[in-house]
This record gives sequence, structure tokens and C-alpha cells, in this order.
Amino acid sequence: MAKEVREYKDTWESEIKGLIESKFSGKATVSKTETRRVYVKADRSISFDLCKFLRDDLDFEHCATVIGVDMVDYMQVVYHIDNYTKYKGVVVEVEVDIPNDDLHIESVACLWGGANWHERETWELFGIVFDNHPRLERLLTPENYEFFPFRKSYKLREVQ
Amino acid sequence: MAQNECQIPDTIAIAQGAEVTKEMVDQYNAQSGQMDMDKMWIIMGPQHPFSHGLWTLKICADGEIVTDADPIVGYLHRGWEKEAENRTYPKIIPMADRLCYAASMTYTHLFCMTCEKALGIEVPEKAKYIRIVADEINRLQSHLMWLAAVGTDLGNYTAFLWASREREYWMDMNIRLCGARLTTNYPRIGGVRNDVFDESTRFLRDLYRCCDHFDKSIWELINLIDNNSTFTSRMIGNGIISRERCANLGITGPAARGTGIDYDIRRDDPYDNYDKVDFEVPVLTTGDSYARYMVRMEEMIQSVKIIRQAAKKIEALGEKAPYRLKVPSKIPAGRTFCKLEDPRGESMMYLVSDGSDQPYRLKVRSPIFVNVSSSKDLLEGCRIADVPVIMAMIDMCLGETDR
Amino acid sequence: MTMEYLEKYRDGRHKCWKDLWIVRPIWTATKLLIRTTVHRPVTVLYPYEALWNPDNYRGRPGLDFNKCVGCGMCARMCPCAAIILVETPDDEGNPVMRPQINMGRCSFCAYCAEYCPLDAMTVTPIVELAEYTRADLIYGPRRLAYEHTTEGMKVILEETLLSDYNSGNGEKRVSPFKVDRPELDGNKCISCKKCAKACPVDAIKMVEHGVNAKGRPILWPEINDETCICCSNCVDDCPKDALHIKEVL
Repeated sequence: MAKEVREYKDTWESEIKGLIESKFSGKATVSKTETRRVYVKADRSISFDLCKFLRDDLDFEHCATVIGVDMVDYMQVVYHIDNYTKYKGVVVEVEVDIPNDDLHIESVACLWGGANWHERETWELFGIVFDNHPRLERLLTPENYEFFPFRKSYKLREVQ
Repeated sequence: MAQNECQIPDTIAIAQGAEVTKEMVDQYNAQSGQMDMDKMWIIMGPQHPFSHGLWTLKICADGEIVTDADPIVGYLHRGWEKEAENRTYPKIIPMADRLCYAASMTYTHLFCMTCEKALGIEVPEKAKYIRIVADEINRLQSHLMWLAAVGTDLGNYTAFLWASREREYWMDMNIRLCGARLTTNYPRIGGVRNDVFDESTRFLRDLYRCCDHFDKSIWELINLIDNNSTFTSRMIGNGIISRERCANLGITGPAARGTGIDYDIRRDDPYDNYDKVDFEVPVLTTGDSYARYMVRMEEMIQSVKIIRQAAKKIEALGEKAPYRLKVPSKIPAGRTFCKLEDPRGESMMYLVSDGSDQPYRLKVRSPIFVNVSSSKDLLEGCRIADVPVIMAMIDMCLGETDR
Repeated sequence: MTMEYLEKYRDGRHKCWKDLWIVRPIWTATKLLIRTTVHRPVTVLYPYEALWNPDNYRGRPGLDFNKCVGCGMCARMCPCAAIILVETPDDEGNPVMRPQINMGRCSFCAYCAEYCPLDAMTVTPIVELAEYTRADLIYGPRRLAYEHTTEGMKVILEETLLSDYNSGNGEKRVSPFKVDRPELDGNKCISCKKCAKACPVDAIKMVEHGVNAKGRPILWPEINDETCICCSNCVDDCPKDALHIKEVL
């Protein structure tokens, strides 16, 4: 039951890069690697499969965050996934672009419970809908809010 | 929670003398057996003496056993990340203090580390060691406040006062270092705000005295609490969660190390010279509240070790060594993120910069946000009296949950 | 791994006679009882006694009226927008700009004291600031004065330049207000002289650089390196954005 914990080796990042690029060739590219960091840019259609591959085959068992970024022409969702055992200490960052007219992405809350509230928060602040999320409701803002506060189109009041 | 329809007998007619037949009585008894009147949602509402901070915990209790839990947060949401987009980088540092007001130097340290990584600058050695000392002092303060809160939750009011008294000594250290007790505004992008060798504040001399005093007083606290079976029996055996479930739910920090996950960012993903100081990471596999309690007490002892080693290295570097670098006010475009071991777990900041002197997007990952979301799994199957124990071991700090 | 940790540090193993049954807690409690009976209590009877605080304790900000030149650096750096510059008569009666702080908004972060180029703003140990109305919390420039200001209350801002640090000369420290200077982009300047009027220390002289097409002299600002305090008032006031602060790294 206990997974094997390995000591850090320099070859881990290139190993992970090779595995990801060979399985999802074309749709997921590793933009750069640093010590204990792998940065992946993925397509929206395979984001769920990529996360499932990371969790099941490479033992990335801790989803640290799900972040929404509002680049005005499109939106982005960024995942950070940690590893405790097989590649101890490595963080994989997955960046997914979402077009403005179709703000839907597959939810990973069924893979990692830690992503549950992060996805709820991203929905309520940006408006990105996570399909198949068990409970996509307001979390931090009051119930009568009618807009998405963190979008760039919502301007804060100026201080005198 | 099925609420079935029930036929209420006509009590007015009965009071006026109508006859109560056996069929009416049998029908009423049969119906009350069908109605699920045992499960009840209890709201530990926003104003509650056990909740440290302003949040609601709704518990579904079947008699005495808890079956479901639903935390509601968001009363303190200040829109921190949106406000940070309108401020220059130095102005965000006092804002980051107010994220977790109990251990404020960890979030400012994290923000400064992220900005320095985006700029590609490495801070001087002395600044790194001073930041380690500041982080560990804040970890001790935060854990002592946690111990005081646990004392009040579990009825041990002596522990509350003694832990607060020990915490006062460490807050005095904060004053010597930077002038304020709680929201310190001390790390800067490029180093720290001021030096520690100032004669009028006598920081280093008092730091060693504080460490020596704390070495004795922590053992007093441990001896009196651990041998108190009325206190420990409330903690042993509840809130048990398996290691795989814990890693999946995203729980980090001492709560995860109590369930067997052997991961500490200071040791496994070191930042800022933590790989040059020698310390141990306590990990226990039991998974209950007592394990989380013991992990935090051990962490306090290890923190004192780290402070002593780092203070010696600062003295060896001397007074003339640089402690603050001059950094450009504009950060080049790009994305960076940094992780740090907060007293409560793993905190992270993600910065999207666009070449100006204000950030484009700054996201804060707070550990308590995720730990609280897992309260359903932690509270399942325990009794109502165990709820404050388990939630106290998570160590809520609302400032960072709601941001 | 966990069992090794517990065996090494604490696992209820018997070390001495004090670990029998409840002897150790009674021993600890008796020692503490005697200590607290003999020693004075920890409580400080405030307001009759007060704890000693070092000089760098961050109470409310304090202002030295005569050192201040009204550059507005404190108002620029305040994260809470608590400081605005107001016009007030100085000792001779001339109207000057001095800061006014709203203590209700102040977060006591001491950025105003840190970024004051002349160290006119300092920290003070005053923390008793209770008033009856919010209007009373607004401290004008004269009310901000604090008579017992010492050297330790000034917050010194000294940084090491990256070039010095990388070349091995890391011990040299400079104040950023003495090295950063505004730089002119000559093509955008329209000789309106607004920068010379905005400068609080009169460090800008308008110098002739030739004649333009209409025969009028072209005046460009020249900044005096010794008196400039790098407050960036000229940068903000220039209508064509011809000046920008050149940061020396």
C-alpha cells in the first residue's frame, strides 16, 4: 500500500518531459524545465486525460491549486500538481487556454479532492464553468452578486 | 433528511371531547416512525466561541454522531488579489502581512521570494539567514497561539494563559527586529528592511536568551499536557483519515504529517538556505488529532534549533555584510510561482507580470482554504463533542482563507 | 522512520524516577508554584506601569516640520492612502505644503518614515490615539510633531547596488534618494517649466539649448545632482512625460 519514496535525481524532469510528450504528442508541450519544476502547455481537449495520466501513472497525488487568469482575449486555467513519492518534490504546472466564447473545461475534482474548492472559487470570480463539478456554487462572495469580480472588465472604484 | 407528510390529528376536536380511537393512535405512531426526525443540521454559526475567526460550520448530526459537514467561509473576503493588481510591488508587502495576521512574515517572505524569482535576483546570504530566523520566530508564535486556542477549545484554560505568556516573549523578539508585534512589514524585495546588529535593540543577545528560556518552558507545557489523560483522551482516536485520502484532499502541513505524508517544503524543496541548516521533520502515521498535536509540539522544538543555527551564521557574517539589494521597480513580463512552508501548510504565490510596476495577476494559495474544505471527511463518524477538537487541530486563520 | 523519531525523542520511555506514574507533572507543577510565588507576577499593571519598548517601536508617525520640504514621498508610498499634502503656514507665515495623516486609516507600517528622503518623518512610541470623533483622528502637520525624537526613531533606508554586490564590493551601502536621478528625453520637452515649479528643493534650472524654429529659446531642465532628493514630483507633473527616473542598479 505504501508507495516507494525516491531520492531526487537530476534526470527526473527530462524523464517526465519525455513521458508526457510521448503520450500526448502534439497537444501537450513542455515549454521549459527547472530543478523540480516542469511547465506544460496543454490543449483543452486533453486536459482531463493529462491530469488522469499524471495521477495514475506518475503518482502525482496532490493538486495544489487551480488558478484562473484573465488575459483579455482569452482565459487560462493553470493547475499545479505536486508529487510526494515517486518524483518527490517535483511540481508540474499545466496551462490550458480557454476561448472567451466557450468558457467550459472539464473538472478534475473527481481526481483530486483538493481541487474542489479551488474550482468553485475560480468559477465564482472569473466565470469559467467546470463541467461535472459536484457542487458549483458561490463560496466567497455573497449570494446576491451578479457579476464576476476578478475579470479585467470589472473595474474597482478609484480612491479619490 | 426525508420530511414525509404526516396527518396531524385534529387536536381541537379532541380537546372538545371527540373520541380518540385506537386507529388514530396507531396511525400516528406508525407515521412518526417513518419520518426521519433523527438527523439534524446544526449550525455552528458565524459567531461561535469555538471557531477562531468568522466562519460557519454546518454539521448534520444523527443523534450524537456526525454524518456530514459543510463549512461556509467568505465573511472576510476582501478581494485581496484584485486589490493587488492596482498597487505597485512595494505597496503589496503591508497587504501581504494582513493575509495571515498570526504569522505575517511568512506571506511577505513568500511574496518577496516570488518577485525576486521573477526578477532573476538572488538575495545576499545574510538576508537569507535573517529571513529564516524571522520565519521560525513566526512559526513559534503561530504554534503557540494554536496551543492557546486548543487549550480554550478543550477546556484547558491554564494552557491558554501559559502559551500566551510564552508567545509574548517571541512577540518581543518581533519588536526588537522591526518595531511591531504582529503585522511586521519586514521582508523587502531584495532582502530585509533593516539590519539586526543595532545596539539599541539588542536583538541577537535577547534571541539567545529567549531560545534558552523557551527550551525549558516548552517541556513544562508538554509534560503537563501529555500526562493529563483527560486532555489527551479527547484527542486520541478521532478525526482519523487515511494517508491516501489525505494526500488526495490536498491537506498539507502538520495536519498531513500527522497522517504519514513525509513532506516538508523546507527539507524537500528548499528555498532561501534552508538546506544549510540542520533540522528534523516529525512525521507520525496514526492519523488522529493527537498525532497532529504532537507534530506541532515537535515542530516548535525543531524551530528553536533552526533559530540557533541561523543566528550563529548571521553573527559569523558580521555587521558589514549586505542585507538589502536595490531592485528595479518594474518586473519583466513572465510567470513565476514560489512555495513556502507556512505554519499551517503549503502556501504558494503565482505572479503574472506584464513589464509594468504593478502585477497583472497575483494568486495566493492558502493552506487552510483546502484543509477546511476537507472537513466533511475529517468529521465523519465522530461525536458532536469531538468537533471542536478536530477543527482546532486544523488551526484556522480566517485572513488567509478568505483573503 | 516515525518509530525512530519517537524512540529518539519522546515515547513515554522511562528515563528516571520522575517518569513513574504522575510524579513528573506533580514535580513540574510544584516547581512552577514555588517559582511564581517567589517571583513577581508577569502582569504589567498598565497604565500605572508600562513595558519598555526600544527606539524603533512603530507607534504613530511623527514629523519634523522644519526638515520637511513637502516632497510628497510619504503620500506616494502610503499603502492606505492616509497621507495628503495640505497647505499650511510655516514659522515665518509663508504657505508651504506639509503632510496631514488620517490616523484612522494608518496601518502603522512606517513606509512614510522609511521613504522620507530627509528623515523628517520618524516613528514615535505613541500608541494611545483614542478620540471621540473621526474628525479628531486627522493629524495636521503641527500636531504630528514629537519632541523626544531620537536618532533611533529614524528609519534608515540603505540598499546595496546590484553592481556593487556582483563585483564583490558588497559592503558599500547607498541611499536610493542619492543615486536615482530623473533623465530628460529632449524630443518631448516643450519648455513649459512646470518641472522647475514642482521641485520642492529648487534643484531644477532651465538651461538654454539653442533656438527653435520661431526664434524662441529652447529651455531644457538641468537637475542639480547634489540637492535633488529624487521625489519624482517633476516626473509626475511633466505634461509630455519627458522625464523619467533612471534607476542606478
